[in-house]
Order: sequence, then structure tokens, then C-alpha cells
Amino acid sequence: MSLTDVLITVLKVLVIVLAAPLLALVLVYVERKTLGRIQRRMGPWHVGPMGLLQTLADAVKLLTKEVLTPERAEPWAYWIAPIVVFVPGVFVLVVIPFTPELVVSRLDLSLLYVFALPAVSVVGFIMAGWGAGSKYALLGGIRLVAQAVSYEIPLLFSVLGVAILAGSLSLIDIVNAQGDTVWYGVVQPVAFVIFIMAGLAEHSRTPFDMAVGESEVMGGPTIEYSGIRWAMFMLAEYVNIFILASLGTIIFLGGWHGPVLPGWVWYLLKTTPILLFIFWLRGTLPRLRVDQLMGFCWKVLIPLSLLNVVVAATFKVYGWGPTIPMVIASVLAAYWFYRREWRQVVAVPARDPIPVPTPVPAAAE
Amino acid sequence: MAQEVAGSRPAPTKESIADWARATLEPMGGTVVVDRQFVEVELPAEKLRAAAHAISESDDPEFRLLYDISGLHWPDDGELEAVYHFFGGWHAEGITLRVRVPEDRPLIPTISEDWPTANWHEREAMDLFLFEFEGHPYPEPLLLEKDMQGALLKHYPQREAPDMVERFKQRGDVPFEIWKAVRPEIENG
Amino acid sequence: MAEAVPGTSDSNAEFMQINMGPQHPSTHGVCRLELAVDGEVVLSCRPEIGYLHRGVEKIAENLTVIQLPVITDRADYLSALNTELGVMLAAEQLYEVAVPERAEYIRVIMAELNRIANHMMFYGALGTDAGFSSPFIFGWWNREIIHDVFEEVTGARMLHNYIALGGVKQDVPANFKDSVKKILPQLADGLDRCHGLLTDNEIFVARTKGLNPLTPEEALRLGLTGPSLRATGLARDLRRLAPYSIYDRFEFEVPVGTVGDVHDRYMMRLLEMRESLRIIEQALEGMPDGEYRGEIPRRLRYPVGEAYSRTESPRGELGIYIVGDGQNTAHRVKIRAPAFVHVSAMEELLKGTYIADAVLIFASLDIVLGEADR
Repeated sequence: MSLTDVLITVLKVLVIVLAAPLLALVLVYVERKTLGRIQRRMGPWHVGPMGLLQTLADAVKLLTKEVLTPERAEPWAYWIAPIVVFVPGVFVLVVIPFTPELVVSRLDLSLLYVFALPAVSVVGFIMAGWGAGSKYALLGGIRLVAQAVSYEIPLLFSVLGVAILAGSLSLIDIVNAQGDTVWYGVVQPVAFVIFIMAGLAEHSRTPFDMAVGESEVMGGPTIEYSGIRWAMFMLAEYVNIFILASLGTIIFLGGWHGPVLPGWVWYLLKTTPILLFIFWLRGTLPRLRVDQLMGFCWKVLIPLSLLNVVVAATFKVYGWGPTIPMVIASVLAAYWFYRREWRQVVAVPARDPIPVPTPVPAAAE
Repeated sequence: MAQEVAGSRPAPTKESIADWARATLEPMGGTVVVDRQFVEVELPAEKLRAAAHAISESDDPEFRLLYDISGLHWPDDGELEAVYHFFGGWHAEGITLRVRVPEDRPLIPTISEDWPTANWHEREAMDLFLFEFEGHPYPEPLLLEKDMQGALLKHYPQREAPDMVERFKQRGDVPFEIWKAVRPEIENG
Repeated sequence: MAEAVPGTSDSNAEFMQINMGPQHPSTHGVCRLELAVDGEVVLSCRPEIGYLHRGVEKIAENLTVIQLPVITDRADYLSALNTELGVMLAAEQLYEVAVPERAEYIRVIMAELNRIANHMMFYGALGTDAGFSSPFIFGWWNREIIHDVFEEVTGARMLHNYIALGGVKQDVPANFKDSVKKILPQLADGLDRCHGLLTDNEIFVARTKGLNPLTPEEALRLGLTGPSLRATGLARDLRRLAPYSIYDRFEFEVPVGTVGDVHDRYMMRLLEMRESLRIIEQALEGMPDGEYRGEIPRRLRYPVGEAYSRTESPRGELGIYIVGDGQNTAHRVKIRAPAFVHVSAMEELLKGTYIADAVLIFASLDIVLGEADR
């Protein structure tokens, strides 16, 4: 590579690094507005026209807040944790192809890379939970790591089916393969649904956000953080949400393919519904309890995603068309989902109501 | 049991409760008064536990709710009075027990074994009036700080009866049951 | 010693002591629950209150009967009108004052509106504790409408000092019937929305169905009253059992549950809101013209004697015990708060549950610490 190539790459990476926080700010605004509308209120309104500058104001507030270090914190773990959580998310953006030209790096193994890096941020959460020196942070960190590690399995298996069908681990090849035939979201609808659910649980979003629940005792592993450190956790979360939606578009919805309009417009048109769906879930669903959450992963998602891989491999080997796998997979998925074991609900026999005799009106005090 | 009681038997009236009280509680030393809002029984302190037990065991009329334990301070008589209101679970009538004790020795046996809700009501009465409920499982302050005990006494905060307050302060810390069970070293502490 | 730790068979069971509160992330008030926890399971619970004790009963001993509602409002601040009604019923028993018809109807309408407002708050708090921010807004949207009516009538949105000895302090404004008629369909619509959001929500049902079921005997032993007791199957409602004011003239159902779990307790309150709307409609139709306050004696000394009034507050059964001794001020005013008894029941109810469920159980009993502490 010549010097100009290196310089151009460095420039592109710099753009990504600067754009990531801005992206997160925009997403925070969109989420707050969406939540507000779902809850019959306005959302941010006063700061800037239509509240557009609200997140900027929040970012400024966070940056100027006093940075406290708790007394019992482990200094190294506490200090490094936000960085370990934030950086992998940004670096995943490096590999995401918005259009065939708008991508920083064309890795052959970009699918693998995209799922390997967020695993590093899980370590960051353990460092945050332990390093904060507080019981609650530790418990929250443990829960979050258990959840993240468990849900990585269905996340990976759901895209494995797509990788098998496309015959490649490169994101660009996957999108191109969809351009010739039908989108993988149609061929593998079960995998798409599993991917979204597992992705939400991976990043601790509602309804899987027990580990970071504010109304629980544990506010999650990040409770002892303030100011810019907490801002990094928050930005990491929104960058990850964006990555989740982008990957959903690329792997299942055909990326930049579409008639008439330029590629990046299609890309945005496909990513936005997924993002809005994620925010919609936040506004309308309560949290799952921890044991229900884990039960859902291990009893429902993992078996389904394994089955999905087997089915995809079978049909790739035998060269059958897309409709049959779709039908079989949907039927099996519907059956599995409606087995309600994962809810861990205790059945209690109902009793008849006991009436109380109405008083004789003559007796009065 | 609940089904039968509620469905078949008619609800007790004030007269039937008064009759029951005369039959059961008067032999224990209580005096039944009927011309007040509910049937009232005035008892000496040492008979309270038996009376409360009888009320909890009674089937017809049945009483299932201990509504409250109110303290009253009569400084002119130098007495404290504890008023216990019991009401039925599935009827509207009730019975009231009244216990009068002298101000400087306000000892009343606890009824928290027959009536679990009495636990907190008695703790509250201890805080507000400096009652001493003998046998209470956890006589720790509930509402008031240790140096504000006896706040609803008429002479508070003048503390004209300082020895009462001293006696309360000597109670000390009582370890809660679960800690005794799982940390045996504080059994003796 | 190992068996003394319930829920574990490990003789080396380690337990951890956790505080829930006093600063709760949820909105019930300042209450401290000291939990001994093994992993996720609560082994024992020690509730501690007193953070909100303001000496309401002591202050009430320095107030005349006209000033009394000011301080008793602040005990249970969410259902202030119901507390006022209870206090004034006791005072009217003591003073032997008759209340005119119009005043009775006004009192009932205000009390039932207050019940709806209170249950909307419960709905919001329960949703928030389940990890869900939207019910709070949905519930408060309805509360705002009711608060506007309250402001028109009493001058205050929340702590009203409106129900007075012999009736109400002042007559309702001329457009009272119209304003209330206007909000009734809005409240019914809001109630439907609230139902639609939580009642059949898959995850909410998974969280609350089968959680902490109780039998009527257990509930009575713990001292639970009100909707939590009705959820267990016992149809005990003081408005039916020992009717006070003019409740015996209205037709309304008493919703009863079957299992007594958290979901049933939640449903009780939603169904009760519907019944309250019915009562308000009937009361609006039947409200006559006339005096808004009965004859009260000129010298308002407390007569010598006692009075005990029991009312069905939205939380449970509220008992007000007033002892008078001929002075201007009462000898003793005792508020028997249902929340006080419910918090003490937490000790038993939380044994063996998960921490996440402990929050829901606490929310389902609809506890307001202002009442428990006074």
C-alpha cells in the first residue's frame, strides 16, 4: 500500500471515530422523541427547535460534570472499563458496508469480526462491575455478563445460516448474494427474529434489560460512574444499537440493493424501521425477570437457532429453493415459541370467591 | 371453613357479641360495657393475653382483624390506657378491649403470638407512650428515634417522668431473628 | 444452624445483606427493607419505617376540629379526600351533627374521584417497578384530568382540606356537574388504554401471574384489607359491609379475585376504578340542591367521648379514632393506616421470593409511607 492509501484509510477511521458519538447523540434524540410520542407526550421540546439540541445539551452537561471515583474502587479496572466497552463498538463501524464504496475496510472475514469485537466489551462490563467496589455493581455486572455470553450463541447461530447460504463470511458478499436472489430475511425469517431478539439481549435493551434496570435494586454495573465515563457507556449502547440495526439490514434485508434510489438511501430506509422497532419495544414492554430471560435463551432461542443452521445447511447441500425452508422453519418456530416453559410461571389453582353477608340495615350505631 | 361461615350463618349483632363477651370474658375478670359504639370489655393487664386468645379462637362470633392498638394517656389519673379494636373478617361488628395501667409501671403482656399484626402496633405504642409489652419478640423503636421516645405523652417534652425514659433506654439492641440463626456468634451478644 | 436458613440446603450458605431503600427508585416513599439474600432469593426481610414520621397525631392534638383536615390530609397524601371523609365521619359521630343530602353526594363524588386518582398512581408505580416507563405517563394523564376538577372545586390539586364537619367547606362551583360529566368518558377511555397496555401484556403476565398467591385466611392473618384482600377471594368491602355516608344507595359491584397473586391485586384496582366511575355517574344524577353544610354548634369544643369510624380508603380499611375531653382540641386522634399493617406484612410475604419479585410485591400492596409513618 502506498502512503496515500494509508493516509486515506487513517482519515476514514478518524471520520468513523468522530462520527460514532454524533451518531449516538442523534439516536438518543430519536429514541426520546419516539418514547415520548408512544407515551402521549412531546419528548424533548425546549432546547433548540423541536428539541433537536437536547442531546447536545446533555452531552455538554455530562462532559462538565464532576468525575467522581468511589472510595472502594479498583483504580485500574474502574478507569479502563468505559474504554473497553466503548472502543470495540466504534471499531465495528469500520467494517460495516453502507454501500460498496462507503466502507473503510473490506475484510473477507468481516462477519466474524463484527461478532468477535463486541465480546471484548463484555469484559469491559465485568471490569466496571468489579472495579466499582459496590455490591450492586458487582451483581449487575455478573448478571449482564451471564446474559451477554448466553445470548451470543443464538446471535451467532442465526447468522451462521445466512453465511452458509451465501457461502461467504464477508458482509459485502452477503449483500451481493441477496442482490441476485431474494433477501435472506424472507428465506430465513426465523433467523431474522432470533437475530433481533438476541441482539437486544446482548446489549441489554428492554425487554431484556434486567441487568441495568433502574427500578431494581441494582442499577447495573455502571451505577458508580458519572460524567464523561457514564457518557461513554451510554454512547456505546447506542452505537451498538445502530450496529445491530445495520447488521440486520445487511444480513437479512439486502443492504443497499434496491431500484431507482442510490444505495445509501435504501440502506437508511431499511435501517430506520429496525431502529424504530427497537425503540417501540422499549416503550411498550416491561422487563423479563432474570430466570425468565435465561430460560428464554436456553430453552427457546438456542434450540431454534441450532435447528435453523441445520435446515440452512441441508438446503444448501441439496440445492432446494427458498420457499420450503421458510415454511418449515416458520411452523417449527411458532411451535417452539408458544411452548411457554421459559416463562417459569407457577400455576396456582383458582378459588371460588367467598361472599360476605350484607348487613341488616336496622342495626346501626 | 370460611365458605361455610360466610354463606350460612347470619352475621352477629352487637347484642350477640355482648352475650358472648359476658359468657367468655367476664369470668376472666373483664367488665362488659354495652352502651358505647362497639361492645367494650375493660380488663386488668394480666388477663389480656387470655382474652385476646379467646377472641382469636372464637368461631361465632369470629374476629379476624386486629385493627389497631391505640394508646391513651390520662395524666390526671396517672394512667396509660391501651385500647384494642378487633373486628370480624366477614362481618362488620367488633369488640374493643381496654387495659389501664399505671404510668410508672406500664406493663402489658404482648398478644403478638395470637395476633401477628399486633407486633407492629405494640412497637408503635411503645414508641409513642412508653408502654412495655412483656414477651414482645422485637421491641425495637419503630417510628421514633431513641431519644424521642414517649412523644405522645401529655407532658412530653418536659419529661416529668424521667425514670420511665431511663428504663426504656436501658432496653438495648435486640438482634433480629434471622441474624441469630445464620450468625451464631451473636446469639450470646 | 444450616436448616435455619430457609430456601437453601447448603450448610455453608452464604448470605448477603442488602438494603432496598430508604431511597427507592420506585415511587412509594421512604421505606427501608433490609433483606438477607442468598444469590437471588430473599431469605428474610426486615422492614423499617419512620423516615416520614412527622408527628401527625401529636399535631392533631393541638388543632381544633376545623383545622384537623389540614394535618390528616398529609398522612395519606394520595387519598387525602378519603382520609378527610373518615376523619369527619368520626368527628360527626362525636359531635352528633347531621350532614345534608347535597353534601353527602358531593363527598361521595370527591372520594370516588380520589379513589380513581389513587389507583392510577398505583398503576403507574407498578408499571415502573416492572421496568416499564409508559404506564406511569398513562396513569398520570388521567390523574391530571381529575386534578383539574379538584382544583376547580377545592382550590388545590392534591391536599384539599375540603370535607369539613357537617358537610363540605364550600359549595361546588356552578359548572361542577358539567366538568365531571366531561371527564367521565375521558377517564373511561384512559382506563381502557391502561388495560390495553398492561393487562394482557405477555411479559407483565409472566412477571405477575402466580406471584405470591394468598388465601383469605393468610391475608387476614397478615392484616391485609382492601383490594389486596379482595384479590384473595373474600368479598369484603366496607362500602357494602358497613355502609357509611350514602354508599348504600348506589349500585356497584365489588370485584373479587381468585388467586390473590400480584396480577389479581392489580386487576382488582383496575376493576374498582370502573365501579367508581359508575358510582360517580349515579351520584351526579341523584345530587339534589340544598345546603352544603349542616348545622354545627357555635362553640366547637370536643364533646367528652370517643368515636371510631371505619372507611374503605383506596388502600385498605382506614380507621379513625377520636377521643374528646371537652377541650377545644382533641385528646387523641389515632389514624389506623392500612399501609402500616401492609408494610409489616412484608416481613412474611417476601420470604423465599426473588429480589426482582420483591419489588413487584411491594408495589402490589399499594403502600404509601406517609400513612404508615404519619
